[in-house]
Amino acid sequence: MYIPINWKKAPKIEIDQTKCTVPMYCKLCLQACPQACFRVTEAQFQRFIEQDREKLGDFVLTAPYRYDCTLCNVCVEVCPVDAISITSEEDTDDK
Amino acid sequence: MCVFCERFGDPEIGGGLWYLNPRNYGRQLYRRKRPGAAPSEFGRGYRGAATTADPLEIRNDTPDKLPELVNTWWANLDKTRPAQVIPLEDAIKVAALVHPFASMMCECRLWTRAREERNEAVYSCGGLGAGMLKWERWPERYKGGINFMSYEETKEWLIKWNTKGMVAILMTYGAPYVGGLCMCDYPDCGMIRMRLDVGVGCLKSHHVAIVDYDLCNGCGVCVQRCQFGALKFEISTDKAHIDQYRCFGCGVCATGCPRGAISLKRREEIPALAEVW
Repeated sequence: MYIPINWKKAPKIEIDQTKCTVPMYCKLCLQACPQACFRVTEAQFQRFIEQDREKLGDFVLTAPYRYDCTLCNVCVEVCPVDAISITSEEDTDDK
Repeated sequence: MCVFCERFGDPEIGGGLWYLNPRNYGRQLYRRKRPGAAPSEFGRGYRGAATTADPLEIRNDTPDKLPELVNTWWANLDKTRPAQVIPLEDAIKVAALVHPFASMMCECRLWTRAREERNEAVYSCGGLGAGMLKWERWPERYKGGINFMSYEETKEWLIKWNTKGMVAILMTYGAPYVGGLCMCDYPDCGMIRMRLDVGVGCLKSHHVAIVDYDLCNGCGVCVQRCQFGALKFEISTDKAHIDQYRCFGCGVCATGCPRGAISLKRREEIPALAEVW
């Protein structure tokens, strides 16, 4: 059994959902992130109905894998609407 | 023998491997539900989001609690929906065993990379068993549709993705009911990622890869193909080295080696690795 140890603190990736409206259609950050930290999910699950990738609010961008983030800032640079901001907890700690 | 083989394998069929036992394909489908009974475990937590959210939140915010989560997961293998890495030869044996086999869009890559696989040439996820006939009834829900394949086509499909460097993973939907055979990589595939990053999700295969140092010329092709970080190229000896504890036994390095220097060995033959899953 493999249990990963000695991990760093997960950086905080904040996504402004009012700016990021069509992540499935834009998909720039999803494809640019070297660590694949982002994930796009359906905003609400409806049986037998396919969500429209160009429609506002059908998909939501999240960053569930943010523990893998290396703070390279590629996603911030690539985002056309400046919706992503990354803060590392190590910056705010007094250690 | 892994936990699954002990419980669901048949020593007389397929050398005791649980996934070569035909009983494990479609067992749940033929069980009739009693009226008024609670919903069965089958199909529960089908949505990937529901099954992966909690471990990831723990991994992000409170990593101290992770060992507890991992121990609970391993203790309740039959109640979760674990997967197992299998080498290409075994994947072809599975393809010969089940019908129908259908390829479809990979939902993991849709989520992590927004990669839409909308035609037969790029489908990288495989579904098998009678459950596939359901997807055919719901073409709209299942984005992009599915492509039913014969045994020969399945074999070609498996070899095509293996050549590209993808790992074959057998997916269970409520153990031991096998419902899928996906071609995955790291980090886009959810199963490999959950196992490597969090410690839950999929089991290692029954094999480990061994390098024949007489044949290895240090070209480094295998190092690029390993999805699990088990292979490294050592400059001083000019050979590829495999970390056997990290090796998942997928055999992708072996099929990529131009000199045939890597072979797969059964896990049971190496005492230290016999119980490492």
